[in-house]
Amino acid sequence: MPIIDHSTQRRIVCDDFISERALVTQEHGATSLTIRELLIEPGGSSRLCSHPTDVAILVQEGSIQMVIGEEVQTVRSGYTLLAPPHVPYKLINNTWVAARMLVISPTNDVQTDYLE
Amino acid sequence: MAITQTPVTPQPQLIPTNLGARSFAAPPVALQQHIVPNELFFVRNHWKGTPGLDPATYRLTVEGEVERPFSMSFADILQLPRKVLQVTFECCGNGPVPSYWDKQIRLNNVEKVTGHGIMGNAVWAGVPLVVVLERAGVKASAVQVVFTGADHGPDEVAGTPQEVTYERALPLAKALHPDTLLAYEMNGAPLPALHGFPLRLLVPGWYGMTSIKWLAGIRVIDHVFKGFYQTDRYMVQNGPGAKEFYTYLTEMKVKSIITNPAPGEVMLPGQPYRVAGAAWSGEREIVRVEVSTDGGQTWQPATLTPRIDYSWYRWEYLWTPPATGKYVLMSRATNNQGETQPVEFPNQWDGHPYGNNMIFPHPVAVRAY
Repeated sequence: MPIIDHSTQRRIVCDDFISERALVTQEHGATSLTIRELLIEPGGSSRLCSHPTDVAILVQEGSIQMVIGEEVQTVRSGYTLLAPPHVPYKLINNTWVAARMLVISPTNDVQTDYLE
Repeated sequence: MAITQTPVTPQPQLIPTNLGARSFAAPPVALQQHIVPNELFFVRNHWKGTPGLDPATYRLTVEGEVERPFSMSFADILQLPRKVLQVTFECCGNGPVPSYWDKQIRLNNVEKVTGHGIMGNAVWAGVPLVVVLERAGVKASAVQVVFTGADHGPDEVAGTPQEVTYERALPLAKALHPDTLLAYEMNGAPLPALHGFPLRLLVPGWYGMTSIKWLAGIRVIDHVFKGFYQTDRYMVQNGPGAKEFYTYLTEMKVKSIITNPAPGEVMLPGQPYRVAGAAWSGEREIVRVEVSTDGGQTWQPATLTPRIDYSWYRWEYLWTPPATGKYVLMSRATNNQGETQPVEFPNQWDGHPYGNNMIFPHPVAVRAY
């Protein structure tokens, strides 16, 4: 049984505001699951994108504005965004504090279409 | 779910501050404006939803130690003399607590507050409370005035009492102050439901919990009020040796915040930047705001813009970041009593966030693009 030590997973800095690390991937032995931890600092935003599968984004800390389809909502830890297949979404941190999220995809081969 | 053109840069929204949709903080951009628009004005309620009062059937009762108890309709209230005031207020739990107090706060079951968004400044219109009290004729035996909201339920922190109504009292002098209002308008619009429609108390210079929403009743009493939200909430413990065990919060302490740059805003090296913010001190005047760009080692005076009525003061300081890197900005306000923001978190005895007016570090990154 693979046991994944979070502290040994390398954090990748995407830009000045966004970083992420893989917690469960194909490399860890997953056959149908990917979990990434995403950190967006205030002032940061992800690119508008979509995936061919469902994606669940669980807000663990802080607060974040989520745009999905035509809906816009600012949420805090304790909320989950479910982005259905092919529905574009975006995460914007215009709040006071960093947002830490778990991004969960039911595949070990996450495909992303960037729309901006 | 319909899929249409996604707004790539949507407008900022209120930020939920605790589970249960009772409270929302203003986003940083809202506090950059002198008047905070209603849709971005913080919400701090004790229970989910609103009482849903109907102005057509609404009656405000005035009773207790008065010569002529009465009740009046909302239409009657609108006929009384009207006063318009700019008033800034904050929830007494506004402001981040240093991380070294996190553990203590969690033990106390009090939510960790982040940012400064549980405050705002707006233009309020209403009837001076003194007009209503004079109509009732306050007896010489009066000591305090109790204000009862239409909101009630189990206490949000402990769950007990299982049923309690939100009510608090003001000392008679503050109740009779000509600027204490029964407000029915906010920024030119009828009071929004989340802010107490149709009528709320507005106590200029005092922390927000005193300004009772959905006002249902006014009761003049001949003793000191001991209600739950008066004596069991909104106080901080004093340290050993203090005369009183608790300090109960009333007037807002001297305080300042930095609103520009907003968290995450990019600053450029060698480019002048207008650092700006707000300062306030209850009913008192702010006489000085100073700014530090080196984590509090040195301080420079900021330019103050006078307040209007009981609004916050706005201040500015032109700073040219010398080079790329990380800096810690700070602001420090002083009032006309010589009171200045403390360097340290003030509630070190119990770790409660209430009345936290410390000098807040504001980390910024200067980047070359």
